[in-house]
Amino acid sequence: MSLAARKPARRPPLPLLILLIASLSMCVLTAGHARDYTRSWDRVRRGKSNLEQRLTLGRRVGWPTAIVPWFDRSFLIFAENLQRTLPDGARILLEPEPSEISDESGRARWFMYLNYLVYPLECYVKQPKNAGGTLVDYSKWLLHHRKQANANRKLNENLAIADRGIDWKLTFAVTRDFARESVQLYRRVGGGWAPVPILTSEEESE
Amino acid sequence: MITWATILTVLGSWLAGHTVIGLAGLGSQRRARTSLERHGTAMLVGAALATTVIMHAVIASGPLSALVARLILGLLALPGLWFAFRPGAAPEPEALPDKIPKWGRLCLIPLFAFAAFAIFNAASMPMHIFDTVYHFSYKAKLIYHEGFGTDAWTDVDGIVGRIITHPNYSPGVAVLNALVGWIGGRFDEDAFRALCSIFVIVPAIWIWVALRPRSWSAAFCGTFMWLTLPILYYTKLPNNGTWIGSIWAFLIGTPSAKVKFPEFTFGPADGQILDGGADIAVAAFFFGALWHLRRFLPSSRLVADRADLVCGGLLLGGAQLAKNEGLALTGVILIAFGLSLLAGKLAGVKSESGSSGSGAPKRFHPLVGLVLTIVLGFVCSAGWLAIRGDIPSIDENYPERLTVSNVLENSSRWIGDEEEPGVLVGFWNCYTHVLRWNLLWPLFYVALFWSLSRPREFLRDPALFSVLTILGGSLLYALILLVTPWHLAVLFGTVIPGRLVVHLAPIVVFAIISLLWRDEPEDTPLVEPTAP
Repeated sequence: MSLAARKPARRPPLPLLILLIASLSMCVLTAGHARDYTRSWDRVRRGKSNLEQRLTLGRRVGWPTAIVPWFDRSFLIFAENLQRTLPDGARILLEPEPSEISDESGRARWFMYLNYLVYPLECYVKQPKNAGGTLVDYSKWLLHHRKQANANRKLNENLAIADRGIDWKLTFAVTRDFARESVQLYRRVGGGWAPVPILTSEEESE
Repeated sequence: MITWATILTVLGSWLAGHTVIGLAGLGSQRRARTSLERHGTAMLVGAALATTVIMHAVIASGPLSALVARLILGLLALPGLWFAFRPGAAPEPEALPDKIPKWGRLCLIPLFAFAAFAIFNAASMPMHIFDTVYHFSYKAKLIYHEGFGTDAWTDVDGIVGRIITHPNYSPGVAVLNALVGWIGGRFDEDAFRALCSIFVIVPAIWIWVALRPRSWSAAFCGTFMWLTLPILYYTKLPNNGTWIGSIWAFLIGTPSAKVKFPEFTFGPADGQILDGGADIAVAAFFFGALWHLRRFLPSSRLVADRADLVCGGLLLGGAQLAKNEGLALTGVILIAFGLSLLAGKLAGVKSESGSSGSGAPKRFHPLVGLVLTIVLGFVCSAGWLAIRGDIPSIDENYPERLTVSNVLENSSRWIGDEEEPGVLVGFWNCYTHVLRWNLLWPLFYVALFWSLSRPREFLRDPALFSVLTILGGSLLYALILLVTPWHLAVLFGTVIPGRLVVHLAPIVVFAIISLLWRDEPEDTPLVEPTAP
């Protein structure tokens, strides 16, 4: 049984219809974006692997800023080399050098991307709540590292590090962009930390 | 990038959705559904079902093997193979009030073109925005490799611990991301990103299906408005300094705009909505829940069957699992539904009970529909809510912050001062940002005030439910911003509150067109008129 057609809905009043048409007409801007995006994809990313595509989002000729500052080649290669250097299941402490904290912006939190990239290696930090919190919390995290630790704090932190079986440590300068030369890897030996060279790849030497 | 894992996950979800719709309809009378509605709804209902089943499996047994995950999705999808192509008997859809004219068919070309662009956009860029990578994809890695409850989730607030952001954010999107990994045999965030276009396409289908019985032009305007919404594709403008530079870049292309305005700096427009985060997922799931729930309101003059109830519940569960905001919006939809029901009664809308005619399903009492939908939503997120308490809240913790005393204490933040812009300023800037929203928000408020000029008719209007949900959701987000620990200027710089009110965007589109193309109040038959 086919039911009778319902009455058509009432049409909108003219002023509202004009506003609606004005809104719909703005689709030319979305269409313009779609054209720009597609051309850019065709020119820059088409046919490339996902890693190569990511690299195009870092610093690029003709762009004033990178879309993702952490997608610079040097950083991605460093993350790969760090993974090759550390044994499977390694636990590593990421620690800023207290004397080398020169930038408090969120952009300098590249260590978070490092944590993402080298996973399943487990990255640890002191005061993780502030490291992964809001930018307000993050400045507290930097302050924590700037402050001279007293004996009690040092003892507690060392106990917590030992407790979690953390045998590796990466120290770095907190700078606006990743600075490979500021990064140093250490391995726990007895009661102290001994520097360990990070493997390099041909790409990095280039 | 679209991979086999993307395709198989979408296919599995779509069939799993058909399993739900088919099984829910067994042994009871069903309402008429067009193929477009069935297939579209199945896609997101299946995604919500797969998310909730996989999440509970991971909570119960730790990370899954690829074989087990494939087996689970396969089992959910298998009955769907039957139901997808043999929907069973249901009342015939009502004839439509108008036909699409020949020139109108040409209008469908840009509609399909923008739908294709949404798919292309999601599939052609690697996942890259900080929030997407960290708040969602990192957790997907944890779920994929470690499951829940490990020290990566819990050892995050001591002297030394693992790095994580927002550890107690709902994990639904991360679970779906991990599922794509299991289906493909390796973790691949870019394959998951490609899947996210379903969160744009299915709401477009729902908007079309719901508005087509009013007129083809209403359906076209609504669907077009949704698919061309700029914020879906970019939040960062090509020229950050001025709108004029960005408008020119869109009109003549960025390279030509660079030549025309050498004094401006240009970069690529970029967005986070289709980057694999949860905002668009909440928007789609929540709209789906409202879309099904509205049928239980007497003012809608629509019938609802058991499948509507189950689909609505699963979609609400999907919204709750996608983001914590989904949990908060559950409260909003509950209040909005109650108020709409009350308003309808005050305006003399008759509550029908029993069957509405031969072949039509028995009508549910509106409150039964509401309660069962919400209960089912919470059943979907039960496992997560059970373990959530063990995860420390390390930063925002809005449920704890959102108290009356806190709201009153921060009331100066409504307007703001020289140091910090106010919440209202943030909303005003969002609503009037026509390069991100077109004229969506002004149009909504103008349509709303126009409707208020006919108060009695407005109280009977089924669009009231959508309107109250939008207003309630916006108020909720304003209150959240009022008590946020963030400096508001920092938040506004990251396209908040725009990224929050995206959750309501498909409902806003639906509400605008429903208010503009008002349905005739009388003589409308109770059997749902739907059409392809």
